[in-house]
Amino acid sequence: VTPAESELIARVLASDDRAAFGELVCLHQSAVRQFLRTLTRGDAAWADDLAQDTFVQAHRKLRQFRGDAAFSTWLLGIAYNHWRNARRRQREHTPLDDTAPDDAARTATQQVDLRHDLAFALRALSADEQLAIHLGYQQGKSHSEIAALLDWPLGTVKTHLARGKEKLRQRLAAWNPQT
Amino acid sequence: MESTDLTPSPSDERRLELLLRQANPMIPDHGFAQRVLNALPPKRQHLRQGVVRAGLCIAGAAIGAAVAWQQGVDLRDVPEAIERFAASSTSLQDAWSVPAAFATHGHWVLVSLGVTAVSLLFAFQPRSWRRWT
Repeated sequence: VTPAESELIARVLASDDRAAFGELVCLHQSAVRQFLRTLTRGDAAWADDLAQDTFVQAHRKLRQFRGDAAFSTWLLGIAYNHWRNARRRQREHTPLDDTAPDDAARTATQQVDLRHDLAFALRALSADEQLAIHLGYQQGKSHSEIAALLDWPLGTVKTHLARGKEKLRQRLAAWNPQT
Repeated sequence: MESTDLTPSPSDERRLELLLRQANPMIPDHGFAQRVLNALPPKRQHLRQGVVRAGLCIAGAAIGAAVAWQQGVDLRDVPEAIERFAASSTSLQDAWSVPAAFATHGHWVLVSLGVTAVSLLFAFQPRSWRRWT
């Protein structure tokens, strides 16, 4: 927890300072929304609804935050639980799509740069691999933090990361127009 | 222009990891924080409620003591009455009749002290007790 975060949290706890909580939301909204967009496979509207619920619950439970983990990790844990509960309730609303992208999309993607290819390759990973890669590289979480956050064994985290990276490497190599 | 050569090698492994770390564009707020703030429940009034509750309890205790004093109870007898009350191990009825030094109104002082103690405890209760009250 950074000193700035600590101060903001203290202000919220002391007097329910809404401006301070707003600053906390501004600091972490991007990470939480990115994470939820990964979980919802790009459903931005659903992800933002879940992100809003995440921050509302974080406000309610802020006193329970002990500072054992980073504040962002604590928020992502709440977000993950929200997503799991929402998916359980609305399974038919947003079915997970683990299939690989179609050929038309592949052709279009070949025309753009490596970053787009990477985004495309990420979407082709399994949900768990995508989640592990997102948390490990895009959110900068350690293996043990990911394991605690997702309630996975450490070995599972490492396996998903390794498999995900291997698939990415293969896909990006295959799509390279110069090879 | 970025090279797209990603054959497996230690340096390419690092390039892929770097690329993954960079592939996390910031999502602009665009009113999201305000949306969250609007969704929060109304601001809590714990502190103000606590002060009001404590004030009411203290005012009640003061009024009770004033009434007792006005009725002619000598408050210097309170410690003796409490000792007798505490020493009484027979029955509540015996305990009730023990503080003879209080004449007619003495037991009301004990009752008001008890009520005051409970009220103050309620007003300033530790946070861990809150779920029980």
